Amino acid sequence: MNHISMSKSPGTLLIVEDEEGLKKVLRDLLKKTCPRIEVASNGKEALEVIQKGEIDVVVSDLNMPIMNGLELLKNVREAGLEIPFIVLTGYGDKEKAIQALRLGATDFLDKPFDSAEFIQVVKKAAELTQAIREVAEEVEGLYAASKISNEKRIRLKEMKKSILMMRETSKIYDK
Amino acid sequence: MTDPQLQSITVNGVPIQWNPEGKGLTFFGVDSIILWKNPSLISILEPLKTELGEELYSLIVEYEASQGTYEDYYSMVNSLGKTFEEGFLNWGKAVSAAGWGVFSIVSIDWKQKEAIIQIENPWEMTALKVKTLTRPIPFLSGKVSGIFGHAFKTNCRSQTLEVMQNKDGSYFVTVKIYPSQETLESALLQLHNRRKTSGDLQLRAMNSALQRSQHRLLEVAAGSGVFVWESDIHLNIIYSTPGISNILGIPEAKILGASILELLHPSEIDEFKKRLDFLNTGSDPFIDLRVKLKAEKQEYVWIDLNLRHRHNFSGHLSGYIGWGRDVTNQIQLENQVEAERLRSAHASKMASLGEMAAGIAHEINNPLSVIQALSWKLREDIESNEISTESLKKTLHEIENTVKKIAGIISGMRAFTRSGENDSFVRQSIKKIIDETLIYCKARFNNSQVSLDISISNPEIEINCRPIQIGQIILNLLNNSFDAILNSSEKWIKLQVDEQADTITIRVTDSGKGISKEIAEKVMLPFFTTKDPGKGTGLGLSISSNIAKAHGGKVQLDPTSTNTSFVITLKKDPKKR
Repeated sequence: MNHISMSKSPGTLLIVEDEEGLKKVLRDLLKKTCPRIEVASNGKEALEVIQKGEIDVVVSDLNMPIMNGLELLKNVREAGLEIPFIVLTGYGDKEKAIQALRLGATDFLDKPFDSAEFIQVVKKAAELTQAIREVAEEVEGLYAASKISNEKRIRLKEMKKSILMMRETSKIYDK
Repeated sequence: MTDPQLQSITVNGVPIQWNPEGKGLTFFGVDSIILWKNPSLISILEPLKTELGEELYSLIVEYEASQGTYEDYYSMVNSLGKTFEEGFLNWGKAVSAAGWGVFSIVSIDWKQKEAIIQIENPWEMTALKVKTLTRPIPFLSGKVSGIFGHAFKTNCRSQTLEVMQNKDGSYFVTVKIYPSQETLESALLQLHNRRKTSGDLQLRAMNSALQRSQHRLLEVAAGSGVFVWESDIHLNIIYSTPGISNILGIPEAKILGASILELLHPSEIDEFKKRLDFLNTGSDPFIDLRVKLKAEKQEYVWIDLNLRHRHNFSGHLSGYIGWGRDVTNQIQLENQVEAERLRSAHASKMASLGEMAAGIAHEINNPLSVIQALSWKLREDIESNEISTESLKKTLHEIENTVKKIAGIISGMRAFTRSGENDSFVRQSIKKIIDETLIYCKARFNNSQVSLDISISNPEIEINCRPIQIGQIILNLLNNSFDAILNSSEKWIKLQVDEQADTITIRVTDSGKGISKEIAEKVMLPFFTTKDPGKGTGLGLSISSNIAKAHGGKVQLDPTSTNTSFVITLKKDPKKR
């Protein structure tokens, strides 16, 4: 974990998309931003990759066979993983976007999306991961250094959660 | 009478003489014959009695029997006895020899001019089937009332007082003779008049009933838009029931004498003349034609017109006769129903179109995203001078291919949303048909986590068909399955294609647990649906079934499957027998 937290790079990105052509193009677009990119063709494959624990940002299509994007998101959140999760929705399908946000998506993009915006959103999400990691590191560090009481430790954990929530909420209301 | 050849006997003082040469017999010196009561007399009189009615028959017989009784009376008082009574009894003995019956006098009241006599075994009782006992023996009653009338010197009638039957079956009839103002003749006349009047009345009643029913018939006919017409040989109308003027709104006077051709809407004249030729040349026995006739209030009315030849008594063609019926309302209704049917079919199509829209959007959004990304990247690369001609060509080629893909989806969608029923049959791979169909439902299935498993035993199978229509059947079955299992815990659909010698089967099975027998019987009927209001039109399966039939195939529910399973059977080549 240490090497990531210290680095300014956005870490490992996972692209989940069933359509081969689009998967390849998305990968090409993000190549410069994210040096490490993993791909999956459906939610089930993606979940397997995520469970290995090395993914920093997920970009996922919603409409996929076997396990769709919403199902994947639900699984990720239920597993307590707080990694940024960006969903790609069909143009005009606001209902799906809202559903995704309620399930804990970080952001959404309507297809066909503007490539620059897409890269920007992914970048921001990666930065969020970075920030979370930094806070976590800090808390861990403080905890280790001061050997604080159990009570204070719990309070610090709550603080960490509040920061995360504030960040995510601000993201949603920006839209 | 003194002919030596005559053989004679005397019974009860009555001489009966036979001429053995076949010249008959005389009874009391009068030419006579002998008849059997049964069958001869019965078979002569019974039908008369039935025909005339018992009352008239009895009166006629009684009257005729009373005529000529003066001779009887005369011989009674002059030769047969010293007194009338003695003469009557002797006369009685004489006629009893002829089988008339045995006469006896119970009483005679000369003052009141009344008498009661008794006749044992009167011939009429044994010869005829007596139905009423008021006048069982009209002949004998007539005789005695005539004779006693002469004796009492007044007009007399008789009345049967009693009919008794002995143990041996013979009868005793007691008859009372009494003076009466009413003669038998006047009674007969009265009866005649009564019957005649009642006959007239009956006739009149029947006639007016006939007129009423004819009037009713005409009224009903006019009200229901039916008319009967007749024309001469030149098609000029010489008779019509009032219905036609009501329908056309033209006064009857204008219709009579008008030609049928004048009544026809101009657009109908050619067809009518053609059909008339068929009738006149004998190739059609009659004409049945739905035509427009000119009308007063609207441009035309629709009439079902019937027309055939009319012949005169000598069998020559004298004109035309037929009927007509106003079917304007019926046609309007038929048009409404047809429009309603088309609207329903359209609604059904729009409903499935709406369901497809999400899938199509997804299908198009993806390649659009690809183009968007590729072109953005091109610009980035150009701006940073990082592009080689080779990679430029490659990217442009990718963009072109993606555009083609979108065009393909759109043209497929346009094709799919038209009915395809007028397309010609082409050889098409069943795999291609299925792939193109899945575009419209794959996204929905993915969204709802319905797994779809496709297996095609031989991907090379081709069938001669209207591909769009086959796609529509498959899509319909897939959509039905989807709607049925959407809320189940287990959600899967299997599509399996198998090949037989001349046919292929496309089986769509879903995780549903079959269909109840009651519903299974109705699923193929038009407008039957178990879906929520607004969701289904109930036309899907019936339309699918019709399409399959047009392809020499069928759509059936497989009742043996534990899961809900529909099977489409199609001929590989419907034109081959």
